[in-house]
Amino acid sequence: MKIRSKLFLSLVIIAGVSVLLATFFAIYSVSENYEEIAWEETVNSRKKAENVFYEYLGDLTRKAVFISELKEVIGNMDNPDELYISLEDKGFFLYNINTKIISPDMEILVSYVNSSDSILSPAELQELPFFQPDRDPLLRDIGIFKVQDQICILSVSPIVDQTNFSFKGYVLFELYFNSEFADQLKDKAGCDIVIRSDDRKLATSFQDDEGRRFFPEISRDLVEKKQKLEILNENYLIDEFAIFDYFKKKVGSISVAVNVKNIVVAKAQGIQNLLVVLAIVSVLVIATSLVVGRKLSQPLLALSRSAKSIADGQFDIQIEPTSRDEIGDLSEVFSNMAESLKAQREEILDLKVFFEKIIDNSPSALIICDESGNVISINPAAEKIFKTPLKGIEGKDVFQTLRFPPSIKADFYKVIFSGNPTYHDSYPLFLPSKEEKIFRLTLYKIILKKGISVAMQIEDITERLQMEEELTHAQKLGTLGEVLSRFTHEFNNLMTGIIGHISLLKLETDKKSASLSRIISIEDLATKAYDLGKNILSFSRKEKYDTERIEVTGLVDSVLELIGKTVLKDVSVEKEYRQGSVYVMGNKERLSLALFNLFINAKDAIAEADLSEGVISVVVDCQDGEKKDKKFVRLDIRDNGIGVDEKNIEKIFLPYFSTKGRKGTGIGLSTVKQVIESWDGKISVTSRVGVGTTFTILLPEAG
Amino acid sequence: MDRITKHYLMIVFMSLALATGVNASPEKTVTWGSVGEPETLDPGQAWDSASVFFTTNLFDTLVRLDSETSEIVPALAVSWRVGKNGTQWVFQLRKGIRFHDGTGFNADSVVFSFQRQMEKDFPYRYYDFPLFDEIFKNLVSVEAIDTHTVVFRLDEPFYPFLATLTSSPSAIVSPAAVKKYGKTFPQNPVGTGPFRFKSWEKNKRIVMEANADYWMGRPGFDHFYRLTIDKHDQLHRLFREQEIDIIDSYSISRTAGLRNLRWATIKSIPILSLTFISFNLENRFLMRKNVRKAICSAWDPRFLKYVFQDFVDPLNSIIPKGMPGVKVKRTGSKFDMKGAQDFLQKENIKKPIRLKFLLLSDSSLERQLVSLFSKKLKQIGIELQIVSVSRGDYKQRVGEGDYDLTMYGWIADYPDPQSIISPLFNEQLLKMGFPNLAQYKDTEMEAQIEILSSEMDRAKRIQRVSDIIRRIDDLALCIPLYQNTSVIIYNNRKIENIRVTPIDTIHLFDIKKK
Repeated sequence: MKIRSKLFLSLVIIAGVSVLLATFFAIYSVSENYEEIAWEETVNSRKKAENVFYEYLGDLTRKAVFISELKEVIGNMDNPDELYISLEDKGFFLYNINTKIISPDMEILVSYVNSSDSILSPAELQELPFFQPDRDPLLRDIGIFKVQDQICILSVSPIVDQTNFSFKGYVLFELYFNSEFADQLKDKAGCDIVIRSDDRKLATSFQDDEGRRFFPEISRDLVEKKQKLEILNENYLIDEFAIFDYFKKKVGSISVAVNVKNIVVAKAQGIQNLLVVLAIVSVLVIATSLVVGRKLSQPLLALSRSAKSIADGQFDIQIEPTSRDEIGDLSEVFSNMAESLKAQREEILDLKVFFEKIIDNSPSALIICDESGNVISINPAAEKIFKTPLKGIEGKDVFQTLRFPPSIKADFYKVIFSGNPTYHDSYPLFLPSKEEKIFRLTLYKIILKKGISVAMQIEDITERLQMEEELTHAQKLGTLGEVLSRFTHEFNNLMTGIIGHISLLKLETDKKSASLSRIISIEDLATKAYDLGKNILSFSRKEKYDTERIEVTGLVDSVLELIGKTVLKDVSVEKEYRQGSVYVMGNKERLSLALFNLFINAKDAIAEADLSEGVISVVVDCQDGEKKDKKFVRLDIRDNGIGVDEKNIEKIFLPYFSTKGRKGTGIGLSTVKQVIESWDGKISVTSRVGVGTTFTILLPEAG
Repeated sequence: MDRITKHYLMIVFMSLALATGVNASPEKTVTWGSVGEPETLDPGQAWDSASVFFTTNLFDTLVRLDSETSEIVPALAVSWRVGKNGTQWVFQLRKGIRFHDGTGFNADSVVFSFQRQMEKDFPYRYYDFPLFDEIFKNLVSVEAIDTHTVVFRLDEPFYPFLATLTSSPSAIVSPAAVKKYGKTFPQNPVGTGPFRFKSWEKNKRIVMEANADYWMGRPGFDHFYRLTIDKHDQLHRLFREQEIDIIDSYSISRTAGLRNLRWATIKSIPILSLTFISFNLENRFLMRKNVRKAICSAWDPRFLKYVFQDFVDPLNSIIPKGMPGVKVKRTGSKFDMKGAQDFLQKENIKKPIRLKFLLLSDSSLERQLVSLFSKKLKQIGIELQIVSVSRGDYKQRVGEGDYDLTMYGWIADYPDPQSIISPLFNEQLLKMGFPNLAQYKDTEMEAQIEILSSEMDRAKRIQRVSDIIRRIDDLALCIPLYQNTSVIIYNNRKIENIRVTPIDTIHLFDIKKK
């Protein structure tokens, strides 16, 4: 035999046997794995359906209460026709729910049948535990009942005339477990539903090609053995949960059926992928066997050395053409291949560095998992959010370690089976640190030759949502200001008229008349109201901000006068003007607004501290600049309020920062800072929690 | 490829580790969800339920209420005797107990724990203790006789003294820890209780872990997480998804859905508490007895059923049902609109009566209740204006007397009628913004209450309590509304044996995690 033939024969035998063995194991292990995934998916669907079902009970209670408190209902209990019409007109009859309005002596005043199954007879109605004489009619109640062959949810709520607290009757909802209900469950839980009582099939969401409903043959055995059921040429896995009636007795069950077609497709895909991998493996086996063939052929040995170099990443190889036979040609081809491989590899390395940079610096957290949900890799952003290094969770089940809720797991498998990405715009997630954050969550599938992985992209949007909310709030306040300004303008127009008429009245009144002093008082008060309006206008009007020379102590007095009796009414204000009158350059309205903001801030801090005696002190003084070349007017506003945390003090002048929770806008202090700095001034703050806060403004003195 | 290989290797190692470590039992964690946060973890300051919940489990008292029988049983004290006509109580202390910080418990720790609340100039007193003086007003001194014997001296006999020692302020704190933490002790509590404090992240969670050396034995689980989740729907979602084992907040419609869940148990236990409507006796209408009687008669207790369903027990006297040492026959006014009108006519008031009803803004069910009441009152010519204010404003307005009627309630600090009656007439509490009946000045009533506290004869006490209740009813000083129930919803597949004492404390020690 020639070398070629010997090699060929031995290699084919080795490779063939190993590929066969590997294929067998691969198919076995993959099928085991997917069976498990498919079953898990089914259990998840059942849990979801169960949750939807029980939420529905709470929902039905609330809806019954809502109907029983409608004035249309309470007001028309003596007039059933009117009652019916008003409820129908307003659309208060609910989908697939029969509504009965019943008088205290059990007469059915209204019976609105919205589903085909109403079979509750008046006699059966009277026997319900809700309406027994020993039970307080004021109690609302809900329960599942078996009525003849049907099962239904009944929800009752008393109708009470609240003006004289008299009992007027009941609202009763009946919801039968019919096909529409099965469809409703299917829509919310995302899987087919079959509802059975102990001895009857009640409802199904299955429909054949012509839209006829049908019941697949589901047995308890099928569920317990996790066996597949063929329905309409598709395979389904079934799980179920029991329904307990009002007396906690089992009356039936709800089965969920999950189509495993997608899982089967994924399985086939998985096997195919594995075969590809195996093919590569067998090629490697052959390549390794070449080493064995070394003794048979020296040139082949040289070639195999080169191949080994390439495998090690050494592409700079020289193969000298040995002979002009096939091996010689092979050497030449090999040489060319090595060069082209080298070029490709460099390209790939560049790409790798490029993508790694992007992923590592991405602000979104990225978690890459394999198809069983085990973490393969996470980026630094994810490490930060979940406060765990890659080492801590690598290879572990992502749902367990990061405590993702089951719904994400369901999505995860949806992504694997369907291949379509899923998005959640604002998903509240419970971090391992028991913190709740809102995330934008995107899951997508990545198919590589070595397997399927799923990338989870998680963006923390908690702060952004909060900011958006605060911004809207600030805009609303702005609008309010405009409305106030318009209103005040109208108000002052009216006041001008009133003051004019009072002046005339004063002239016309006899000097000795007793009313004169009253008229003067009215004039005085009206003028004050007018001035108040003017002050409000000067605050809310948008003007050009010309700078002028301002006397600071006078300005402080006027601001305090405006808000002293309103905003600061529970607070005592201490003033200290150490240098008498001092002047700065600025805009009077803008500076007033800034002071106004600081006073409100101080007041809020005091209110929050819940103090019996709040004190705000204002000190106006002069001081030299750092280089002693300038003189500054210094204004301290100190409160004994709650104080600001050290970690927040840096942020206090940022737009949208507020320690006041939802009450404040946070826009005030940033504006104040802008204003002061626009006149070459400075504003700073010192604060201690529980002691108080001092704001210090420095403005260049205007001689 | 690298990471994948590593991953598979790790699985191999992990399965090896599992195979060798099967015997190590897993750590058990109980997760509890609640909507509010405690105000403090210092038992001397704890007056809100959330704070008492923690101090009960972090600290021990000398005696405690058995959660099964509601009787007073030994805790840090093993035995006691009372002498000198009830003015001297001697306690023998348990030996070999250590605080969570490792320091030993002895008679000095007991003396320290009481003195820091009693003596205004005690060197390690860092803040005030508003409850102590109310509960222990008769206490004169606490002294150590030897390392394991303490004596409490009272200025006059005080029947419920033993019962007061079950209250939160009587818990024993670690003197070393108080000295070490000073003002921050409420955030770093150290006691001898079945659980030790681990961490507190404000508005997020509080963590405790089991005290393995607890004198009654090791608790039924290792870690305790109490999560603060301010949204009810989220709390219920987490419970439904079985992320949380126990929740203590409910809405009536949500429990309807839960009632059908087999694994969820809804426990509703009546506790010694009183919610009542109080009158501002300085109001020119309400200072007249017949106006108050008219208002009392217009109250229909059926409002409670409609609004609160089965979640509260209506009361017709100020003393809740189940209070030891009380036998009260039906007293108080009956719902009677005609009677209400008759009372008003006696006063011959011409003008319409307008009154302000002060309510906390976050209590929507109470608002519904008062709104129903206001419609009844309108029928007899009394107009009620409901004023809703924030918690801070509420206290201020009550303290300043800026209200006509308001609704308030509290839970007994210890199981004795004194714990309801005494704060009802405490002027200091009213000034602090807790509505009560202290505006009523009557020497005879004061004398009656005074005698009650020192009456040591059980039968006579029962008679005296009845006398006081009857007197309050005759004068129509308030409308007793209802007694609260403590509602606990838990996952019965994971948790068993959860109990609530009549003073609404829960001993986590009892809970078993499956």
